[in-house]
Amino acid sequence: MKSKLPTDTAATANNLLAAIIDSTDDAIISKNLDGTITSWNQAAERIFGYAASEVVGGPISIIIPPEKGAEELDILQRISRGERIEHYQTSRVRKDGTRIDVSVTISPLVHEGRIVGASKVARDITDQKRAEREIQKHRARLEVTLRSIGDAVIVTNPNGAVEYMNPVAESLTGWKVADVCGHPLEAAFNIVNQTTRRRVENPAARALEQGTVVGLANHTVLIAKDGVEYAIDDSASPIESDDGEILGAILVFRDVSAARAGDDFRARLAAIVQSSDDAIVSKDLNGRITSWNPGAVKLFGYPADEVIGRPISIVIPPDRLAEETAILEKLRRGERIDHFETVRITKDRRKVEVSLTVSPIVDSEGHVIGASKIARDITDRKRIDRELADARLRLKKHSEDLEKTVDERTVELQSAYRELETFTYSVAHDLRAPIRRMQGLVGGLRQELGPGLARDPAELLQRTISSLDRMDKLVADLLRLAQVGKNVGTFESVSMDQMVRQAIAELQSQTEGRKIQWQVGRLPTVHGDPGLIRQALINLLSNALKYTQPRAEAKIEVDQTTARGALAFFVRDNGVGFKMEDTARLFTPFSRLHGERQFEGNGVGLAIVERIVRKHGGQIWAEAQPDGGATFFFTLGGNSNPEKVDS
Amino acid sequence: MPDQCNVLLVDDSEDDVYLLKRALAHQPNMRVVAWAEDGSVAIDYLSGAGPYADRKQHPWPDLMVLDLKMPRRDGYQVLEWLRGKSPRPKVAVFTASDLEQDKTRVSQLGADLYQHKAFQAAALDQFMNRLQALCGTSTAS
Repeated sequence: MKSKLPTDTAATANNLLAAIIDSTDDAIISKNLDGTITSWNQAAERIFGYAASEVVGGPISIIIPPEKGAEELDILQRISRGERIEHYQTSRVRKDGTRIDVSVTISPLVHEGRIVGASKVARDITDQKRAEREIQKHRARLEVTLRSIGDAVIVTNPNGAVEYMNPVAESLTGWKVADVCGHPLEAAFNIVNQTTRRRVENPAARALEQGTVVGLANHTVLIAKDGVEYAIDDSASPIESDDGEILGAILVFRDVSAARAGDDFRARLAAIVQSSDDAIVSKDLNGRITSWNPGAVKLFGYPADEVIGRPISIVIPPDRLAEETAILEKLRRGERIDHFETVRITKDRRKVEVSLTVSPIVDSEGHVIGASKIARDITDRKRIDRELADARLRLKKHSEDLEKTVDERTVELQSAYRELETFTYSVAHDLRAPIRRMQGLVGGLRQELGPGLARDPAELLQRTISSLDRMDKLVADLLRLAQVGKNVGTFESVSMDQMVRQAIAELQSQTEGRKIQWQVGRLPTVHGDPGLIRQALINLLSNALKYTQPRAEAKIEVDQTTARGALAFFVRDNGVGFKMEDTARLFTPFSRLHGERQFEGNGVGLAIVERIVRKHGGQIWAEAQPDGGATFFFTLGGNSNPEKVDS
Repeated sequence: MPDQCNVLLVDDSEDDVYLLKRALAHQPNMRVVAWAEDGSVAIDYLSGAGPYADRKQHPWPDLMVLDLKMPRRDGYQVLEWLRGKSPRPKVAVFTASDLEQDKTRVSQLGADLYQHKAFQAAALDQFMNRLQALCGTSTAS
């Protein structure tokens, strides 16, 4: 108050000032520098409870709490230095001893250039302080609430920057508030669609934009800082002030991985039940149908809405109702029925053969509350089973018939074969008589006509005789061939040495006048038919003699060796031989390697040998080269181990 | 030259009989007294049955040339019939068969000779020689 006003005006101004001071809500107090109160307005009276008369002239310390005495001293010092103290919050004591919170502004009082005291404006801020404390408490409670809440909470400012994250949010996102505070929400809250893996718009941004509560789309996955994914369920709301100003957004989300996995599992189970070809039905313990899948619709013909709530007995044939009672009984005991084959009835009264598996349905407390029933249509399988059994039976019968037929045919065949052999033998035998007779007749004719015959008729006769001789030989050989087949001679010990000697002796007529070097090794005794073995040797030796005819000296060797893993005999000659590729034809009847003019014969001789060897279970083969001689080997089966050599 | 030898031919083949007779014609002491065309006729002749009772007309044979394969009764049946009979002619079996088993059986049935039927000159000569030998023993006994 340094300005000087005219006295009347000054008085008026003073009065006005006093009025203002008295009407103000703030306590206005003045004091001198030693702390003596010099003025005390009405508000001071109200705030501190002392009347001006009670305190003016008294020490200011009357309203200062004892522990704040130092404070007042400090204030007075600062004032005396000319400083001003503004909105200093402290507490004071009222007349009744209660404490009040005050905000004080203290200014130096200057009179004629000197600081003479201080004016003090004190505002009672007890209510304000209480309100602040309330807010503080509230905030703390909120903080604790947010901390302890099970859901993750993130608060953003109006621009969508992170302001706060509760511990659950920190743990789910993997980010600390300190790391992301002030950063866009996306930095900590990275969400994608579970299936498409596309980024999903964060709901807080939408909430800020639209000013409404935004729920998160389903199938959202949060990717945490460390890459771990959480299925989440969330919502965001804008934070609005009372006057509608948007102050930020609050995002609340929670980990629903377990729940979603459960949902997925249930959805998959439901899909399996829906798509199953088997009828899957559930019923309560009273036998009332509670669910009915498409498989059941297909199998039984009833649509689901027609049967749910009705007794399961509608698909059970009347004569099998007792079955259901037994099944329910077992179910109540918690037992299950596996692959029970029975018959059920469809809507159109058709019988179907089914395989049933019935299991109890148990609630979370373990009580049996119903049953699930899987019915598979086995009508086809049953039919196939029956057909299969039938087919098997027919096959068996057929195979038995076949076996019988084969047996019969075998008997017929054996009989036919025997007949054929007898026939061959008879034909050969009966053919032989007239040939021999003709030989005699023609021979007699030549004898009668004698040397007087002209050259031409004589040659005709000679050729007729030769032809008859060949024919006779052929029939004789045929007879032998048939004989080998027909004869199942008795086997006995046969001395091969002796056999070879006999054969050579029998061939004497063929060796006369020829130079032949026989070389016969020591041969063992074998088991066989002596007649047949002698015949075989005769034929082989005769063969050797025949094809060595061009040689000045024939060399014929008979010996034993080991060939093809068995004891083998061989007849080797130094004759004309043959090409190896012709060996296959050697043993075929009537097949010859040489012309009649070169070497006489009918191609039956070796066929007879082959048949004899085969009769003994042996093998015959030959080695030769053209003009290099031939060797015929043969084994006699069952004689594979060389026996003792006859001495 | 051996003594007179009466021969009975038992064979169903007329041709064979013709050839045999032709060969025998060269044997002066051998006389074919009859030809039986099968075993039954042979047995009738030997037993002197019916028309064969007259031995003047149908003399007892010293030698019988016997075929084996014949209609009615065959050579084996004739041999069987002859078994233990006395007197009995010498029997030369003359057959197309050269089977060992036939030879064995025939010899067991008491035949004196087994000749394989062949009519070439050499074969017939050999047969005649064997028949002569047989006739000789016959007269000796």
